[in-house]
Amino acid sequence: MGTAAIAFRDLGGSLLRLPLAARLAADDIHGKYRRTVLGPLWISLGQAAMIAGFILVFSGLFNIEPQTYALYLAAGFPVWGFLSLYLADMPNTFIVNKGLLESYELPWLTLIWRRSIGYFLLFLHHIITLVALMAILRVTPTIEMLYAIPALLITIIAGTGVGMLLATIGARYRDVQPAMQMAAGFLFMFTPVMWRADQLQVNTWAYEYNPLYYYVTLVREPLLGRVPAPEIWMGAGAGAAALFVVGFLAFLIGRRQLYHWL
Amino acid sequence: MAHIELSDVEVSYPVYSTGRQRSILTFAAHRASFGRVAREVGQIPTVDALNGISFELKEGDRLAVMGRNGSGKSTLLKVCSGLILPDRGKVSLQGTRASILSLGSSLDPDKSGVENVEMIGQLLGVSRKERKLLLEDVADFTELADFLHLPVRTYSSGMTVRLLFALATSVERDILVVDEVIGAGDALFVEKAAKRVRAMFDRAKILVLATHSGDIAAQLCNQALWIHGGRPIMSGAPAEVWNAYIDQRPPLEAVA
Repeated sequence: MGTAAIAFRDLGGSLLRLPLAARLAADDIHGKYRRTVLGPLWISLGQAAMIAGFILVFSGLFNIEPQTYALYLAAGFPVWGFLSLYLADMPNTFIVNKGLLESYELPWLTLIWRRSIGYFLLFLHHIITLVALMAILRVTPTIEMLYAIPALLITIIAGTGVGMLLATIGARYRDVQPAMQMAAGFLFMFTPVMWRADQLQVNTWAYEYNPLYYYVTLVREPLLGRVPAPEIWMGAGAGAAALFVVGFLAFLIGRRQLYHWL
Repeated sequence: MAHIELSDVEVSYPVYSTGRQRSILTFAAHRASFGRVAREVGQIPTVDALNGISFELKEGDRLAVMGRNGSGKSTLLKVCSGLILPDRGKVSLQGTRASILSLGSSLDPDKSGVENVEMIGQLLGVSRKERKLLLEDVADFTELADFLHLPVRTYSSGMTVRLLFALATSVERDILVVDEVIGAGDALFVEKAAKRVRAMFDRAKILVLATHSGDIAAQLCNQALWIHGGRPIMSGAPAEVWNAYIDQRPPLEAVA
């Protein structure tokens, strides 16, 4: 059997085992917070504390109404956290799971889906802050918020593509993970999470050519009750399809050498 | 239907000796300077691990792989597990498989034995109801008793092997691939493991076992392969191949 056939069978097997990947992801989060009293709620609390701090400082600095800014941040930070995990956490996926791959017959890509779904579950914990804030500020949820569901699906597909690419390269080159962590911190400055795109009058290329801008907007807009513009849907959707194909091709090409790299 | 077939398999793998060979930044610098910077990045040595290996295993076949350290036994087991794809030659693997290739590496050291059994049970697609039986079976076989509720990192290597072996053999798999780690168990355990593997083979499966012990090979296997320098030297009945291996007949110089 050729490498391509093995890679396609792996992809097919991993799609069939998506429920397994989801169970393992839930198990990972549960395990991580097992020894704490509040459990995964720690994530939401940390998030709330950070947003409170930002509002104290930046609402004055940017001269925005604190309530609007709070909602903007509470929606934007979880989305940013979700996206940046794909960059900063995916590269070591195959490396740390070597033992599991050695012991059990398991599609390699199940490990990528497991992380992907794990990031999504973390995102759901982070979004609790937004829900609480909406309750406090008496913002009524609107039907437009449901657009967040397809937006998240598109983002997960794009991220999983990035994950396949980075996990493959990350197995061969061990400095990919620290490099991507640095890149994520750098890109945070260029992505409208703390600031709004329309506030930037000069150097607008900083977000216009930044793919993360499109995904942040795609998911954040519905959370704030707005429908993202059609070009955002198109750009993010086409990007997701392209990233998934590129990521899978990287895995397909790398698969022959992948075990030797671990 | 379990089946393994290797025909004329050749495997070589890269050996990264310096950190710079594993750095994407160094690689970029190397490329950007047309190879003038970081010369060693362009010259990564490879090891020829396997060469001209062919065999076929059908249901009920239990193969012992013998050879000195570095002869290619582990690489061969990884080919049989579907982890390594051959550079040349053909490998066909049919059937579900479980492998014990390294100590404890598939266990989460921070989780207790019970939690690890739970996770691996999920991984193997065991239903919730059957996972209870799985845990009972593992507890019964490993005799770890209360240790099963402690984190795996507190286990001795022998205890870890028992847990790994119990898990790998708890759910019916068609192909079982075992590296010599089994030697880490105490004598009583080896006997118990042998019993369990034999029980597994009553249901007609394939075993591939790398070993440094003639006794284990004779107890568990019904055929043997001796490899040296990645090449096949001799195959046959375990006792026969083992004796030849110990006496070094045929002399290796003659073959190599």
